[in-house]
Amino acid sequence: MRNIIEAKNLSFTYSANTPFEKAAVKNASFCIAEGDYIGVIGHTGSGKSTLIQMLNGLLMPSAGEVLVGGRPVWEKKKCRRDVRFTVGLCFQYPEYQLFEETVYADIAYGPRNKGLPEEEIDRCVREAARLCGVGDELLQRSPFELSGGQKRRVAIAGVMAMEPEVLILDEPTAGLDPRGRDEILARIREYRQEKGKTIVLVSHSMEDISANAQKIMVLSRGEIRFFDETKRVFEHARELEEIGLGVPSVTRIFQMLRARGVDVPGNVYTLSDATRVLAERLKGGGRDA
Amino acid sequence: MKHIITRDLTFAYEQKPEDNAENFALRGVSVSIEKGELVAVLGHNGSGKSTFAKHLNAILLPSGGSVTVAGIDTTEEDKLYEIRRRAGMVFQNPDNQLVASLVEDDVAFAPENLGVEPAEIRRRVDEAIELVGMQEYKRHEVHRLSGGQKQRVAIAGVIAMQPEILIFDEPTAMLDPRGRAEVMATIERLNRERGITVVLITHYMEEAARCGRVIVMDEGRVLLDGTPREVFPQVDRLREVGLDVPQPTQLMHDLRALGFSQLPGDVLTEEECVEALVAQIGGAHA
Amino acid sequence: MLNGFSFGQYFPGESALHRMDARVKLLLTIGMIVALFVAGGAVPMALLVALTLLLFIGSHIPLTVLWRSVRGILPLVIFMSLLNIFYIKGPTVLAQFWIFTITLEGVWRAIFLAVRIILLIVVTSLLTYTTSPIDLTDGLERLLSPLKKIHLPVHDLAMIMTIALRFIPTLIEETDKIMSAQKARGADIDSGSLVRRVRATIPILVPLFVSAVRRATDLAVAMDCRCYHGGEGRTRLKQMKLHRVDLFGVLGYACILAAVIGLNFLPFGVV
Repeated sequence: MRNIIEAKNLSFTYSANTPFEKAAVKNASFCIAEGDYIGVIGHTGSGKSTLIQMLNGLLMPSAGEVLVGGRPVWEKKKCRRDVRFTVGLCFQYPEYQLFEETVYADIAYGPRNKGLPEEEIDRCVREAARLCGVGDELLQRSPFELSGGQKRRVAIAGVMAMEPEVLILDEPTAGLDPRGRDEILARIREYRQEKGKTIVLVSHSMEDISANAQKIMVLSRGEIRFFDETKRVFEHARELEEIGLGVPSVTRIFQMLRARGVDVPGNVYTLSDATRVLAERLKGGGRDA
Repeated sequence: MKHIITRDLTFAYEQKPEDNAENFALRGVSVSIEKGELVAVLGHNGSGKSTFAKHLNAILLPSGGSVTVAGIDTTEEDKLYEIRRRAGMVFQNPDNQLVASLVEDDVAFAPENLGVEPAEIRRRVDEAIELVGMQEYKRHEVHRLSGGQKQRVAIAGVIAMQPEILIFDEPTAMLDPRGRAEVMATIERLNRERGITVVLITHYMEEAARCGRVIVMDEGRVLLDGTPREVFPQVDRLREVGLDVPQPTQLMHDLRALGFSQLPGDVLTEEECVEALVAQIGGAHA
Repeated sequence: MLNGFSFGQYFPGESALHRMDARVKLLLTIGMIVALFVAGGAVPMALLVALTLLLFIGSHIPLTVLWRSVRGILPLVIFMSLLNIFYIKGPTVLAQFWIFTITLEGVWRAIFLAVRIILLIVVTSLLTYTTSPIDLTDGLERLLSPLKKIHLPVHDLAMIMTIALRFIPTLIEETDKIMSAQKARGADIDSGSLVRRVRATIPILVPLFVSAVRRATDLAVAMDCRCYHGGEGRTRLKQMKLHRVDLFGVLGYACILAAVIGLNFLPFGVV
């Protein structure tokens, strides 16, 4: 697979040369391949927000460089704006960015800025709305009349409608109840299945990340601690707990079972895998250890 | 002693003429809460849980039925500030409930409103700030604090009224895991050490599982009411109303559904789950 | 982006300036501004520069912080000074080229103007740096309290100021976030014609306004829950009492003002 994003020795320092100076990202190098579903996890202040803003040209790295589709982001001014349409970034609580009179017009804002012709805008808007579960009957309503979950989906549709190669979502489920959370995560999975585009999901929730992402990037104090396939990362349960991130509850249960001498794999992290493995063990009729 | 009693509480938000009676946010909620209880009210958005909370300190008044808090009916107008002092409320967005720029000035806001003597305000402010573990930040600006710290300042600001009841309306919904843990620990400590009755509105089952009692709401009614051990094993009913259950409970439930009915159904914690599995499969030391 | 701004912020500390009564500080700040405009000669101005310097050192405020609030006003200061240099014509010609004549008097006026504006900024910054927002608004409320007699809502005005000071940093942060979010959707904020640029602010202003309204609604309920019911019967955590430091401050100021007025009559450097 071709690399859609390449980051080389990226660093970012906030408020340089003031008493509040702080290195937010230190020397990060990584590649994201086309079609990947990547989970980024880390505490507030671990540098994850800074990192993703460097990937779509919103923040200029203090050092290092970002290549998107092989082209350096910061070389030309035009490139810097174009990259925002290639790497779509949906911020935390995106419903606070809604401003238009109708849902339709708001979703159309990104495609219009991209300079698409009117019929193409219409296609993008309707497609993004469908993918985000925003029904036709909502398109002419004011975005401010909608429920919290609906607003969130409209806002995500606004970024999807730019049809970016990479969709980065910063905490898309923050503040939602379990039903709203499951709905958004399912929509993102469907979008990926249908479009085959790259997804970067930033989240605090190990459960959400582990159930969705193929690869996980773990950030701590501005450094990439792990960047590997999901099950490989969960092999480092102890280090993850040390960073204070924890692992999914089932992973912990499996680790405890292993400590008690039960022969089960140590890198189980989804409920369905856990159920399958345990069902086999229970069927095996048991006291064979 | 009953600290909070609601009898057949109903509530409808402002009715437009075209609306029918279906518009009720609460449809007959009868709950009584004892002094010193730590109660979680669990429900999805729109289940009526926040509307319920707002009735407990007279932000909203019942359309039907009654609410009695610390022995006072919430419709008694002349006792409004008495009710609000005794039943303090902390909200979801930590930023939007802090009035003053400095931590201690904000915590002093409520006692100042109540006309407390300056020396006594000082004592209460210091005590409240210490209770939430923010003494190092007394003279800090609130906008520079983390979400969890802001929320703890908000709690201190309510504690300074010396309430007997604390109502938390989704206090952790906007926080990261670390902030959530800080706030939960503070809530539990206030309940345990100060004997304050706590009503915690939440949609996080992890938080509800730590409370002594869980009330599950759906469509403006009480669906389930009991200890976490009584409530959470009802996995299918909780799933139906869009709620999560703790992973260990879910795991046992899924295995039982596959026919392993020898496993217990009322498991809550990871440790209990491991014990149950070891008993069935057998570990090296079993 | 918008965080480099420090004017109006508070920096907690224990200096004499920090400990001084907010009312006295407010009055003395106004007094200093008066003195700045009264000072008409190099000597009284030098005296005020020295005094401001002393106050600054005594406040323990870092120089970088002060620099950040002065920095913003510098272009204006330079512009006005240049205007003075070229515009004021005196008898002592220093240089002459094309249509411009630079005279000693013009240079003096320019320097005076620059010093005056910079001192103005420094003095008012020192007030906000060393006075917590609540003390500031409380002080103002108490100073203005005689006006309650003519039905001026003094308490409400002070409360509005408290809330404004509390929420300004929050809203600045919010503006920053909304700007980033719209830029991520391809908003082009800093190019194009004036009309285009004004239109480009709509996607920022609308969400900001909506958010401010939401915050205000939330805050009103939260204030109700904390038993706020106006200024009546309200007490204060901090009692304002005059201390020795306040007395020194007032007397010190009286001396300085007398000196400034007296030195104005000295024969050199008068403009």
